[in-house]
Amino acid sequence: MNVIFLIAKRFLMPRNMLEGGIINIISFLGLFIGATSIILSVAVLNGFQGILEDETKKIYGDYAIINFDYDRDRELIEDFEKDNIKYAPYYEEEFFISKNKKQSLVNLKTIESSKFDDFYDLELVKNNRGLSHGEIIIGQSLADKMGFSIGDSISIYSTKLNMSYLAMPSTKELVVTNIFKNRILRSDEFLIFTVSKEYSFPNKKFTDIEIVGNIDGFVTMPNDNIVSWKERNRQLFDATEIEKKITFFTLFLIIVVASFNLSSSVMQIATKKTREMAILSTFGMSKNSISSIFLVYGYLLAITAILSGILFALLIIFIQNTFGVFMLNPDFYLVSKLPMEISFKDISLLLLYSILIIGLFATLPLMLIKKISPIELINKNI
Amino acid sequence: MILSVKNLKKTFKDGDKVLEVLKGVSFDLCKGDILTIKGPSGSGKSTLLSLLGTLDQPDSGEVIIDNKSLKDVKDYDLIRNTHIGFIFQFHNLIAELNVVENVTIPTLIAGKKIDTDYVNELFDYFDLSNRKKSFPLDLSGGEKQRVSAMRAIMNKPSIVIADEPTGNLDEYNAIKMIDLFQKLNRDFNLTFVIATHDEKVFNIGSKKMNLYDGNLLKL
Repeated sequence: MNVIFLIAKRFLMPRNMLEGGIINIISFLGLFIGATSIILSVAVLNGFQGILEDETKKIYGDYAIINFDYDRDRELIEDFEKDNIKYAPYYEEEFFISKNKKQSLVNLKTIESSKFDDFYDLELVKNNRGLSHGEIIIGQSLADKMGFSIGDSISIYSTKLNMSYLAMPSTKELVVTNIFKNRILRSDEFLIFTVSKEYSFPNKKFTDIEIVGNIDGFVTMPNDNIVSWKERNRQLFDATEIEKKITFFTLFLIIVVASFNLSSSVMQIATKKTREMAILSTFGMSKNSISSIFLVYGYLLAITAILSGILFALLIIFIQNTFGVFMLNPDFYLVSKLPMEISFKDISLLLLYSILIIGLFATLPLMLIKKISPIELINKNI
Repeated sequence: MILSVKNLKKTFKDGDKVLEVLKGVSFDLCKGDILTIKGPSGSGKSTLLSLLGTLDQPDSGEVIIDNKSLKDVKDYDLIRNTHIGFIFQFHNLIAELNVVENVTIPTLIAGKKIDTDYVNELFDYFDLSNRKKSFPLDLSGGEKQRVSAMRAIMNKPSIVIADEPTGNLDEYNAIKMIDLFQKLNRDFNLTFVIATHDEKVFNIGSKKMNLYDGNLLKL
């Protein structure tokens, strides 16, 4: 075994725990807690982000072709058909809805009738998913707010001022056949689904197409007409990404503070080990190699602590995902147990940043060690 | 000649005062010689050993080890590692390393592969085979000093420098240590430079000198 590594390892795990062990344990704990906190916090944010993603995709699919043009995009549709890629042509219009002096602005999403049933993964109050012309599925929040129930007939008024011959805004009479639950982006407060059988696809009325699945092989990205679910809800997902980054860097401050502690530990150990430095110098070890012992010592301590912290966090995530130890109120948080999702990208980033910051802090004491001359050490210690 | 010292001078500054510790020390040693040096405390014995051991540099004069002048040497660490073995008053073993690791540290520092047969032979020779995996704290004072001696000769040095090697031992262990030096000298033809206050140690020297007022006087 390399002599530098051997001595650094032995300094890290001294036989007499009181001598250097406690200093090591304190430094270890700081970095351990820092690493655990970062991985757990980011895992929770990833978990919630994953839920947002899943729930959003249930309503919006993976991609949408905006301003669909059948002549232009016909080949694409044919490819989707050939490869069984799910797609749903639709168009959206804004309407007012009112009942007993209560009003609400809603977004009526009219989907090509043959595509509705197996495309949108909605959690419905009534099991029957069937939807015919003139029927709608509304969200739970809208139903609660306006007092609608399944079977109710409701009138909706166009927000465009297309007056009828009686100088009344154009209206539609629709029957509520089901209620869906999905509170993502307040969708169950303003989104209403219906189908159109009057116009079969392709039809100029369907302006957009939603797609479920990976379309990388079908289209060349970027394509101005094709937007992902994330791009359609950019504000929300940008906010969650920023929140994740801020959390990561805020908690990384624990690692920075713990690195100060590590630096002080390296200094303390180096001060305690001047006799050993003198012995090694006497037997021909160079100053650089002696300094390297303390650098390796610092890195061994830090990397062990950070890896242990990561493993501990992964264990907690595994326990939570398997047994659901931490429960949540689903009325507030959409889910009944705290979601946690491991991100290897975040773990790699943590390791990379930690190595850099620890390298910096573990090197500081070495500058002082290098200033000590062997004869000074030997005269003082041997 | 294994060691040749020519007109070695060393001064130290103490505030405005300049202390002349060595005032031109010269001597020659052949392979297998034992040079014992005595002198009152502060006479410069340890300073002389530091200069011989390349731990410090003289103001003037020359030290030649194995026909190599230290003036021409750039890497003193390498010279210490390959040509010089040290035995101190205190054993100075590294507490965190076990006995075999302590003994082989000069070889590990040199980056060389450990010759297990040679190590086993050494342990048998020093009668410490059953202590290989022990730690310094578990050894008696005499055993520690024997381990220290074993470490000093691990890299088969040209000279072994010992500063008060029995200074921290009881009489029984001191005598054992003296016997060991003589045995090592006889069996391995090792060259020793020993600074001591102990008359028994002093008397084993094939060359005996007294360092007094910065000058080395042959006895």
